[in-house]
Amino acid sequence: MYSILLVEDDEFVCKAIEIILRKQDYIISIAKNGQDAMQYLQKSKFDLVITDLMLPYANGMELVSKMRNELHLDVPILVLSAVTHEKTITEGFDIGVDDYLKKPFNPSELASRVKRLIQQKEKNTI
Amino acid sequence: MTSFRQWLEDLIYYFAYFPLVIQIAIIVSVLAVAGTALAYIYMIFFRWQKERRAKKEIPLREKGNELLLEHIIYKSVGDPDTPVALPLEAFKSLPLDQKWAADVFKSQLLEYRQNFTGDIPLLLRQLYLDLGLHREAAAALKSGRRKKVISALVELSGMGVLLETAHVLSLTQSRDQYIREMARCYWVQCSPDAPFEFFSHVKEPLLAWEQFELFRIISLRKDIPMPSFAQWIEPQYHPTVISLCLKLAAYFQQPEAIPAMIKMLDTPDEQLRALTINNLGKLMALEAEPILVKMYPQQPDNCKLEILKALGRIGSGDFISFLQQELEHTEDFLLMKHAAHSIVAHKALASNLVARLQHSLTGTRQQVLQHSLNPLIKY
Amino acid sequence: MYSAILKHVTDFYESAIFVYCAGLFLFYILLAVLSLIAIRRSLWKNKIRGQQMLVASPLTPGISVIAPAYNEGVTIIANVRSLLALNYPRFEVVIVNDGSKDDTLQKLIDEFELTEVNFAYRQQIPCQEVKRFFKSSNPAYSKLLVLDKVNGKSKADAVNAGINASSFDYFLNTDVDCILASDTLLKLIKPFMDDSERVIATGAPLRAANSCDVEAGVITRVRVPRALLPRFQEMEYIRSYLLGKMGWTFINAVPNVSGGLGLFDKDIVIKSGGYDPASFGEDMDMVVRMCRYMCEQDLPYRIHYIPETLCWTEVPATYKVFFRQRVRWARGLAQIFSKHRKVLFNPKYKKLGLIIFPYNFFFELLAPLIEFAGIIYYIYIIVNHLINWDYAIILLVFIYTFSILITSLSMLWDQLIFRYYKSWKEVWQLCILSLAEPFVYHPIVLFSAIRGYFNQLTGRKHTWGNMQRQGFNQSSNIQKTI
Repeated sequence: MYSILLVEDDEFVCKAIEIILRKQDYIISIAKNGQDAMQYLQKSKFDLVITDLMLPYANGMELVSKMRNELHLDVPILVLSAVTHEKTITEGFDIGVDDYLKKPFNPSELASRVKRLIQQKEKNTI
Repeated sequence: MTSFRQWLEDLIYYFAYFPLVIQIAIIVSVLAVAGTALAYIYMIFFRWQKERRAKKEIPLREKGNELLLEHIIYKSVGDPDTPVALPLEAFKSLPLDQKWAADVFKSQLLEYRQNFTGDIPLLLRQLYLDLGLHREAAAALKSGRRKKVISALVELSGMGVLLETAHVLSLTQSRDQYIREMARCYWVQCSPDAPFEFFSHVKEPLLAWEQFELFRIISLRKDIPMPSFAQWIEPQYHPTVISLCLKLAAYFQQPEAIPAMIKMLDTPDEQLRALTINNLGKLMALEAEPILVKMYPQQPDNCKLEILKALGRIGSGDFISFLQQELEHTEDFLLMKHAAHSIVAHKALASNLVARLQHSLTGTRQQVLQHSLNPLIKY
Repeated sequence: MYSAILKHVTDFYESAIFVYCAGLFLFYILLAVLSLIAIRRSLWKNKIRGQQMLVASPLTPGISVIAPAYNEGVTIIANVRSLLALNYPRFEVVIVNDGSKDDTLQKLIDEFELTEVNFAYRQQIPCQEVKRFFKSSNPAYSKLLVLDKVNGKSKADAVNAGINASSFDYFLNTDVDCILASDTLLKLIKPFMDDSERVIATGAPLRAANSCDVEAGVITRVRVPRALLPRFQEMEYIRSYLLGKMGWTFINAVPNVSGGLGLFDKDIVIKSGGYDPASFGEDMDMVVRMCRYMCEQDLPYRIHYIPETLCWTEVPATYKVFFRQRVRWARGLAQIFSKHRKVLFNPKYKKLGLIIFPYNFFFELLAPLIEFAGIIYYIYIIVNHLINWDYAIILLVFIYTFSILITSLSMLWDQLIFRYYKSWKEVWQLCILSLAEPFVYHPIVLFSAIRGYFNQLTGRKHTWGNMQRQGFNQSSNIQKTI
């Protein structure tokens, strides 16, 4: 069983993703903002982090940068956001985002990307 | 207390003998007190009503969410080849025959459609039709009542259901700005064969908002091949249509639009010209570079600015000395800044030049170059 | 003979006062009706036009959020974080450190990993020298730009510097201690996209943050201020925005976009010369000059207010600070009328000259003077036993009941539409307060206005010093009453 941290402030999206990923037998934890997410990350280990970019208080970019530079985590990060500005997306990849999925999204695609990211990480660690 | 009552009675008794001013003052005071009381009563009533409605709606929403998540979202993940059967019976357990309940459920369907792509929007659309939820909107379309027509258009377009084709097409020419706009968006969203036809007939400007909306709808439509938007980049069409098509041609990277765009450079409309130049840059139109450089001296500042930006985007390197000359000689700060930006955008092609300029430039020009070279500064 | 003349004078005065009040009340009723229509229209538009589309569109215009900071060390980090977390796809945050004497700048540098950059800066509108520019070396904060400038003794000067350094065509003028709703930029940019005429500014209501629950720079629960003075101000704000500004929006005659929150077309602001550091009401002065510029160029324009509250600000909680703030506002208003004398009744300035200025002249600028004269007059006739007590009481009741009606209507509009307050109790607390307003709150407002005019006439120097901080906190010039 793999565990996933979902960072998202929209309740509706949270619920939907939870349902989608539960079906694939993942364990989901939900954080409503970047700060909560940091607390989760300090306490427990995750196999994947899915985050929105626009979050209250500490935004997604900040979270990613803190994960990589302060906590030195190599957990794969999937950004799920409505923002489509190219600059923002490339910036995300620069600071350590592994994959980017646009909102609105296709649940099957989300599931397959999650699977791929986790498999890739498995491969790298072996 | 009795003296106050006495006073009031006197007031009523002598009312007719008071000066006009006092009479009016008394009447207005009474009205104001009555108005205040009414305002408070209405406030109480309204809050109560809203609370009651919320209490009624919450369980329904939860049930709707449960059903949608379980039957649509949950089942759509996994094997894409097995079609999802719509369990209509389950959804019929909702009290959809009541208008308020139907409205709540429709808003949920719309929300779900907006949040997901792939098969889900189609499934939701099917569910909407199978449950007969479209009937009310269909009737509203023809009701002739402005607000009803508009909200019907919004609902149907959100659900992706095209009804009353001929009538909707006539609404795209409506005199009412909102009906016209919503009907156009609806048409572009749902028409299976000729969604863009009306571009040729637009007489009134498309507001910025409508352009945004159309742009979004068009960029999300994956079921039809995109037409060549160059066909509307012609002076005879409405400037706002041209402007939308310029952006669309660049967004869909249609290089075949470049010749039409180059022709548009002669337009007397400065803003449109600037936008054309901008989108030539986004299309990386190599063939436009010499033309842009040639026309540069006669242009107003906003077009000059766009030319400099475009040269940076196209970045062939052929006109880097032109950019250098602008950076070294223009007195206009913004032109200077964009000349520098565009030189830096040439990356490897400009590395020698940048090194030289770093030595030769002084003052503001030097600062502008440093500004553009700094990766921390985006704009 | 003497008493006959006196009687004429008193009669004239009484009927003049009556006509004035009747005129003012007519205006208020008209505004109440217009604002209801405008609010409903705006809500209807929200229903048919989702703003989510703006988040995803590559066409959405960029916005520079400009917030000056002076000695804000205690709260600066939380506030900047909440600005950086605004829900908008393309924006920058420009913090102007206006020569703070505390650790504001150092805190920013430490928290956001700032490094000094060589920034190409052009002074398009006048302001004090900007000494240094900072950008973050952490890409997560790439939206942030910090300016360190020489103190200019006014918010206007700091905002001008921010405008000079900003990159986008639109800018949001706010204060660093304002708490903004996360959708602020989306909601304020909408009117710019949705009008066939050029929109030059938009604004939205402010309310008191004093007793609200705030968590990590986000309002989690809106509450009516517990203390009396802020609660009075909350009531006044609701009335001023929902009944005043929305009504003026309907006829495109908005007199002012308050300094706490406003989105502006940068081009027009620059062409009108930027904010005036010498002004005591720099926000209204700016809007007046923008309107003047548009009229002089013969360009059609619009200024919009939207009804949703997007900004919560700490309002003065002590009488001393409150009094100073209102003295300053009153002085600002007087200053605007002396500075823009030519506009009053000038048909060249269209609605500005024929509606906004006359209304504000008679019912905002002159109101405190007329009221003050009225009180003196009443004292005089009481002392000389000339008073007809019945009539006097009737006239007082007339004014009192009407002012309560107006406040109640604004509360009703607020309730009909938004229901920011969760409990009944809070609504009642505000409603009950309207009964006390004319006796408790209004006299302070009146007296501070008189004092402000007096200071303006005598050219008394405004005491800066520790007032400076207040200047930032409360410079949001909400027009008095309506």
